[in-house]
Amino acid sequence: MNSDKAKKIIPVIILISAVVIISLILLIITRHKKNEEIVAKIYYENSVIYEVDLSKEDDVRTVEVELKEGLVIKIEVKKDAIRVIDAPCKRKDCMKMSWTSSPNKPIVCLDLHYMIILSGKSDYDVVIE
Amino acid sequence: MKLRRIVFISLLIAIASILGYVESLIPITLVPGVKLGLANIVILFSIYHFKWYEALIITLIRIVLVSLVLGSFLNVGFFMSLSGGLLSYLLMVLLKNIKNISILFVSISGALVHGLGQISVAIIVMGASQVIYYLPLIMLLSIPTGVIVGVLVRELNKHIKLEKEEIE
Ligand SMILES: [Zn+2]
Repeated sequence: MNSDKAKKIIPVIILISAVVIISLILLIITRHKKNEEIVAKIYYENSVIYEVDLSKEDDVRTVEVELKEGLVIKIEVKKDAIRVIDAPCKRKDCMKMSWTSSPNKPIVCLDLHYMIILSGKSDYDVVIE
Repeated sequence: MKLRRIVFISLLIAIASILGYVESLIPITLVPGVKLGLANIVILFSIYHFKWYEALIITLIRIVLVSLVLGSFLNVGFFMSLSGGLLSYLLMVLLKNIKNISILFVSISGALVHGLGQISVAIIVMGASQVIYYLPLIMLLSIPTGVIVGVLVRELNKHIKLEKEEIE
């Protein structure tokens, strides 16, 4: 009975450990290196529409970005952070994500198909297939 | 198919849809569009109590119903759910039939693939490898989700026994 239980619980423990280890490795690989300049890029239809160096920002300022003709989103930028405050999408997921200052937390709008991705200035450039 | 059985399946579809809808309200908007997979409680339960195609029907109808309610039918969110739902269904059906594999293992694997399936659609559709940054979070989230779903279904299995004639 006991060995039967062990037989069942060991694979579970191995599975959980594997998932945790792989996620941590991925987190470390993708983590932004500290004290580096953070650049935010807004992608729409596979190209960069807008780019801002967040390390050079100071007070909060609002920017209107035109993704394409007639499609405008309003963003706010401040020192090392960016957020969307207005977008004409249904779910408003992009707005709900609020401030982001990490490459691990890109802003993605599934309705309008635009993305805001942060990266260190020296990071590899984005590969888009 | 017995009437009782059809009624039971409809009930499961209803419960799965409500769970699917409720979890779309849970703001884990760290990862927009990605759902935890609480509806997997029902899917896993049906895998253990119904024929494979009946569990598949419940999975598919649930995904379509929830997306219709959310107004996301046939857009990115829908395909993310479809991919996550189908992949985790497939894996859980396969694993369930392997000897010595516990329901917890089946459930955690299902939750993991549920997340991976969703994220791969996001990567393909959004066309950006950067979505990969979500991966560690989604993988880590799948552990508590998988454990909760697994434990709940294990307890359910102890208390709910379908009569033999209903299984036929
Ligand atoms: Zn949006």
